Amino acid sequence: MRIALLEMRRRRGRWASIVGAIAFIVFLVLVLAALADGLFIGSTGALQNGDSDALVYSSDGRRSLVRSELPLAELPAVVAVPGVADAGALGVLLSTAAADAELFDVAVIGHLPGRPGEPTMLVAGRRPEPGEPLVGIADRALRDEGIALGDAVLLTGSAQPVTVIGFVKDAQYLLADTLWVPIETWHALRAEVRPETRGRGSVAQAFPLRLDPTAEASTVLSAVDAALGNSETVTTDEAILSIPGVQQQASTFTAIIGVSFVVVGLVTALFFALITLEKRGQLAILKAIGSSNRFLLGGVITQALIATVVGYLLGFAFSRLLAAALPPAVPATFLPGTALTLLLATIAMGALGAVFSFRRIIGIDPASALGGEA
Amino acid sequence: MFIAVRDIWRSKLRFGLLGGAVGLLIFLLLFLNTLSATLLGFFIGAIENNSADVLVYEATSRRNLQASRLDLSLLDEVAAVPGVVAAAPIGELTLTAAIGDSLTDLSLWGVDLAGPGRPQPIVEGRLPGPGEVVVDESGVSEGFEIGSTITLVASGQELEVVGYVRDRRYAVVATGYLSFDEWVAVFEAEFPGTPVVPLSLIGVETAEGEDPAAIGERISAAVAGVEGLDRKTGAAGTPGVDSISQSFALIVGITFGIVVLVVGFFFLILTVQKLRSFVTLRAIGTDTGYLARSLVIQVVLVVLVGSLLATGVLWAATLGANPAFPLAVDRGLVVTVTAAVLVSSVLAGVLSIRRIARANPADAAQGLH
Repeated sequence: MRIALLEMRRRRGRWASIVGAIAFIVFLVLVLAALADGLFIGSTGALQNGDSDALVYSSDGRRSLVRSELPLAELPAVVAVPGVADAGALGVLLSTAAADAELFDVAVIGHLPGRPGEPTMLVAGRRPEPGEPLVGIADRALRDEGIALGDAVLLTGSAQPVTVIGFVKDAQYLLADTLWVPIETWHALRAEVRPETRGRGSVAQAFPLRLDPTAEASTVLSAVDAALGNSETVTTDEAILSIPGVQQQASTFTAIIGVSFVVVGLVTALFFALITLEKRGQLAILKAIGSSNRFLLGGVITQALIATVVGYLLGFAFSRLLAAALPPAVPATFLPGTALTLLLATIAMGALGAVFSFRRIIGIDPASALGGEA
Repeated sequence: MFIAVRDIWRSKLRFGLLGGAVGLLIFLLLFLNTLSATLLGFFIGAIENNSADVLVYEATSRRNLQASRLDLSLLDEVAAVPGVVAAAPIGELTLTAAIGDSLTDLSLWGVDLAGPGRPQPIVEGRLPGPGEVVVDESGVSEGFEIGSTITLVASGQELEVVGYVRDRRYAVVATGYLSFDEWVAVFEAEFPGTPVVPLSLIGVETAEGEDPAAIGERISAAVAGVEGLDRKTGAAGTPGVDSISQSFALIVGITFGIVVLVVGFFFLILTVQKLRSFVTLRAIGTDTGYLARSLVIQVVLVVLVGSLLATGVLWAATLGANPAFPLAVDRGLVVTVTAAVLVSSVLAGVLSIRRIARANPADAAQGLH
């Protein structure tokens, strides 16, 4: 143990290289994970934080909020299904809008205030009352566009401004900032901005459901579809992965993070294998003067643990520095759970590398020390 | 050269580990680039590889094709702008379609089959006639094969697939192209009684030698309420694409930097391991330049072997890729990444060469290193 620490102190430059390499690799994986989480939350926040257990779509809507349509008149039939605690309504209108002269992208989401599907994380102001006309709560990202409480937002193609009365967080949809309005206001805005939809009547694009906690989810979802006859009801998690591009985006990042992790693990293990190869001569001498394999392994593992933990801490610090410098267009979200998982995995990989090296230590012949073979 | 190769031959395990590590890191770079290019192509291929030189959006749409709604009457105004050879309508509608026994999403583009925005080149099959459609070939895995029939769910209209285009997918869903007149009929069937049939874009062909970006600006200035953009700018401006492409650019940039640094560290460690041998060689009169050249040769060999390994692993990964998200080995990318890693690794090797140059040959006599 003492020899291991002493060696690290005396060969600071070499160990700094190893710690540096581990730090950069940890930094890479942390940034990858943050970007993946940021893009995922930016695309799906509206459903993730929408206080629902399941969503009902029209069967020909293919779980697309934009294409699905269900008559609002069917909502009481959904609420009456045993196991459904409550149901709301959602509709989406992708558009652009302006508060002053500056245009910004916006997803206007119609909902029933106080019912399932409304955004849960109110951070300022208040929610609309049911049916309250031409008011809305905005994702707090719209503050970056200069929107404040009380401001009027005018959709392109509409003559009816919507007053912002509250802000919510993590409620984006398809990387667009959202403006949540009562469903009646959504109908009025859609008829103006998309005149071709005027003939569709009073519709929603999905019914978000809150289920009775004691009910069997799959049974309830089937019962809803049986009651409506023309619907597809899925859990909210399934609905999230059905948002266009989200599945592909998620699987792309999963593949990238997975491959990065395997590469990181192997490279870390190879580092320690190379270092052990380098010390064969010294290890042979130690074995010749009576050091046990166990003693030597303890030293190698101690060094691996110190190198990986210090490398991790540095990598973590670098990632936080980068987070502070990222432009708003790059949606990085650093989740504590991801950081903790990576810490444990990095330590495990370092230890694995050390154990891999140990196989070589066992194979060292103490007699080779006498021959001066390194 | 001789010493460099002999050293590799005699330390096969050491260089094997090194080549493996470098290969894995190069594979990581290739894999990231391949995945990001494929994902972005699925989002915006139809815009980025459109046959029109300039795409005209509604000015207030913020380059969002689905928010852009233009009146057909603007076609003549755009066509009259100096430098514009032809202008044609482009409509986009994403709808639910039945193919075989399953329902799927379809982005349907209505275009002038002889004008800018037409599906070109047709890589297999032919241009569509009445009741026909060509599709992006990536849709084959979803059942969109030549000869198959697509049924549009809302209207019940049937379209036969008669050809394929390449790299023309939009918004990650299967994408089809048919004549604008037929697209108008589909739109009207989807929205019965609609008071308007808006165009999504106007495709523009520019005169030979004209800069599409400049023509785009000219159109924006001459026609009220529109914004003309060259394809690349239009594709980059698509909502969400900015976030995705910047995220990937950041990932690739960071990975590249780290790969170079880690490979540099590897060679530094390797040089330190051999410092005693280098000192001995210098003590018996070997020139530092010769030793430096040997190190560079080793760097080049290790990176090239690593690159071959990386390409092999990438090729294996493409074979195992999901048919709905096909990956392919891009030779240009392999060459570019290998060249970049090679140059950077040799530069990083300079650090190792400095250590050799600084070593005192007299230490060899005292057994120091």
